[in-house]
Amino acid sequence: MNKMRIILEKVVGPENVSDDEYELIGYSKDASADIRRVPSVIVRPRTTEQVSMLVRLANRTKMPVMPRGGGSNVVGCLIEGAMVLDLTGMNKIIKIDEESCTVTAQAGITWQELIMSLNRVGWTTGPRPHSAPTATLGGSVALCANGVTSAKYGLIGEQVVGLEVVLPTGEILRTGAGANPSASNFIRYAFASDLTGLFIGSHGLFGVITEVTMKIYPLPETKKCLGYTFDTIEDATRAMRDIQLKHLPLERMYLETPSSLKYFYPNLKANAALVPIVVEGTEDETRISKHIVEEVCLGRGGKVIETNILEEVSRNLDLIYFNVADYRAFGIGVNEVPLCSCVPTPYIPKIVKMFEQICEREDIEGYGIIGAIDAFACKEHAVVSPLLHYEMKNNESANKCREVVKKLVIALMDVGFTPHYLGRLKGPPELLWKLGAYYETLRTLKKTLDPNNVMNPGLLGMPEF
Amino acid sequence: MVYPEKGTYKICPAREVLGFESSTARGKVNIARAILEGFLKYSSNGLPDQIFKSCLLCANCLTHCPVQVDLPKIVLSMRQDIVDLKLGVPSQLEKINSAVEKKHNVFNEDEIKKSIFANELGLPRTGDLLLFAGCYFLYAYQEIAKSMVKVLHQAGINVSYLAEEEWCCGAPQIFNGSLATATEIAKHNVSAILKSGAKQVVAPCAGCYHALKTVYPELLGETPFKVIHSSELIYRLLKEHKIELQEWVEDTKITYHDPCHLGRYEGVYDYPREIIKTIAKTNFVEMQRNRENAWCCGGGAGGVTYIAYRDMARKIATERVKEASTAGAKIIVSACPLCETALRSSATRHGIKVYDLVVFVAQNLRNDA
Repeated sequence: MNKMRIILEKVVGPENVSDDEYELIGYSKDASADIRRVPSVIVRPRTTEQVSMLVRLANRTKMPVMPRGGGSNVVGCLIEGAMVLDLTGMNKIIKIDEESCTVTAQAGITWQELIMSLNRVGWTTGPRPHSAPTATLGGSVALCANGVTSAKYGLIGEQVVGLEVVLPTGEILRTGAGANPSASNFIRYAFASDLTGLFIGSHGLFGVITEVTMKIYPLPETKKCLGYTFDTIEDATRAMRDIQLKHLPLERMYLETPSSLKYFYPNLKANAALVPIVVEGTEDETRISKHIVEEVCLGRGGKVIETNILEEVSRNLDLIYFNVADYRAFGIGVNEVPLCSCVPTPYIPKIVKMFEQICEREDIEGYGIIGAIDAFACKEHAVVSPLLHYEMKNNESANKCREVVKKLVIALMDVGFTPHYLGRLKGPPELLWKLGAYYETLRTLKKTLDPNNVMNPGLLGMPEF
Repeated sequence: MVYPEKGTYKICPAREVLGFESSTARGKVNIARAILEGFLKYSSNGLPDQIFKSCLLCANCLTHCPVQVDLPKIVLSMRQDIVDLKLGVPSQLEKINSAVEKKHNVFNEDEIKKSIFANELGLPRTGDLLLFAGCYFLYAYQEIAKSMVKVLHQAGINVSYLAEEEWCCGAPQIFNGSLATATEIAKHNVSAILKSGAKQVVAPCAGCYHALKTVYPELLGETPFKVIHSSELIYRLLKEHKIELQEWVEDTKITYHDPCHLGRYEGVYDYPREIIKTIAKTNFVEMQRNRENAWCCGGGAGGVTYIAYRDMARKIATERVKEASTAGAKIIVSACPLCETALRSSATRHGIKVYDLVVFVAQNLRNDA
């Protein structure tokens, strides 16, 4: 490592390289329930050219590479013994292009910094992940994450217009219209195949995302928070579906089931389900949207929640935005494992039922694990979010949680589950091989693009280093 | 993590300079957890230094943490462990500790200067109100203590001073983990204050104020005297019309920098502002990050960062000064001589002056009051 360290310091400067034990231990965990996986060295590049040099070096010296952003992923993407590329030092906004309604930023910028910088000039991103203070743009794209405001905008991957990627052999690639150096990067579908799509959700297997160009939207004039309770999850799901078919300007729409209500809204004496909604737009748009939403919800047996409860819902939605609600609901020392998947909205009730049955069968409570499930609208579909919460200090609880996660994702696949990011925890081999030719093609692409298998080796069942 | 209406997204000054995970709030907690779980030992290469370097104890993290993880306390505990294990504090801090042990002040200055000060201003050794001048007046900022006396005398209030019996408040030792030394200092100072008969102690330094008011009772139990910051006393004198201040005539914007140990630790935000506004009126401007969101000056609690990691302190101070510049201020007023020291060289480069609040008040006293 000493010789390697000298070379790394020549690339990025000595202040940007560390192999101190305490540092490696810090990078040996992410926000997931995965075990510790200690890397070999941490490098903080500042430019795409430095990333390219580092990747080429990894190929020459046969060293695994692990790109890392905020470390807030919840599925486990750590690589033992890797050279970690801590991209949080690459955090500049390159351009806010109001003509093409796009923003281009380096991959290491946090969502919060990006959103607040856009807000200052009257714009915003579409989906906004509730890990915004920590999650970085590149990481969210590499895992095709969702955002709590996906109701109108869909998954984060759908917002990406183009990427700059350092390929596993060190070449620098621009996708989308940006492949033409003389063009602005305003559209994803240009020239021939959509290479942007290859890297969205790629888990870092096909290269290091160094810049992201994505769509931006004018800040809405106003927002209104609404809330309705329903006697059954089925009624709530039908109402949610009917609202989605109206294509209203929704910022977000949730469906809270009894298990999630217990923790997020303990004061609410709800029936079976709560559907909080935020409509946005001009005053007229929000007024009309509110009217239509109310008509739909009342028509499906919903009841308007009281004003004081609505205020609590509104405050909670702000807290959810910054991931505060979860910590407050479940307390210090409890880690959350979300098992998100986008599904057709009508699937929600059967997935809720299956989740509850499996949790009961596995006796998760006996292991100190709390299960809860909710959903939120994602354009015309829904992201269902089964959540498991385990005590971090309790190894038995953590181990059982990992085991149940694996059983859950495999069982839920049989009822149409299609998680949009997998990681180590949600992507066990049994699940991957169910995907047939899709997974085999991923493996072929991996061999082609990464002949020395340096990028995140071992992730998603790919060959270990 | 900060809510958008507070206008900022940065929390940890150390993290902004150092960048690695170990300098983030999360990273520091992980280090503590790894030590508790046996994955990491304090003697690990570079760790003791990192524990001093990577935290200014500014408490911005605690203030914004939704579940109130007390990271400053965790870091302080780690520093205490390092001292107890004799793994050492950074050498520059050892020099400070040694100076305080031998000469009872951080600057290693001769204690006779305290008596000279007392005699020059005719300050008795006993009385109801005691000035705890702090170490800074011995080195470069005599005017802070002199200004405090001037303001009090103008208000017709007698103030006493312990002279050589006033030892360094012990804040540097409290914050660099040398708790045994800090406790001895505290015992001495409390005994000396009691002997002086003081019912109230006024401290112009935020560090001294926090040490005397909050830390001493934690170390030794409740004390019978009340500790107030100079800003509270001056505010009271203004309200009681015992002093009057003249209006600022220059068209220069003035801002206030909240010291961490006055603001976030002790909740004192308004007294200094009301005083400055009395003078500056509409020329008072707020920096974007103010009150509980104030960006640290870079000095670090007890001066740890300023003394041992000067380069880092300068970078943090420069960010704060740029914030003042963005607000249009040409003057920064603060209420802690450490903050003023930390900000001053960067401020000068940006054409901004730095004043202590007490000095600012003394310069703007109306003599016909």
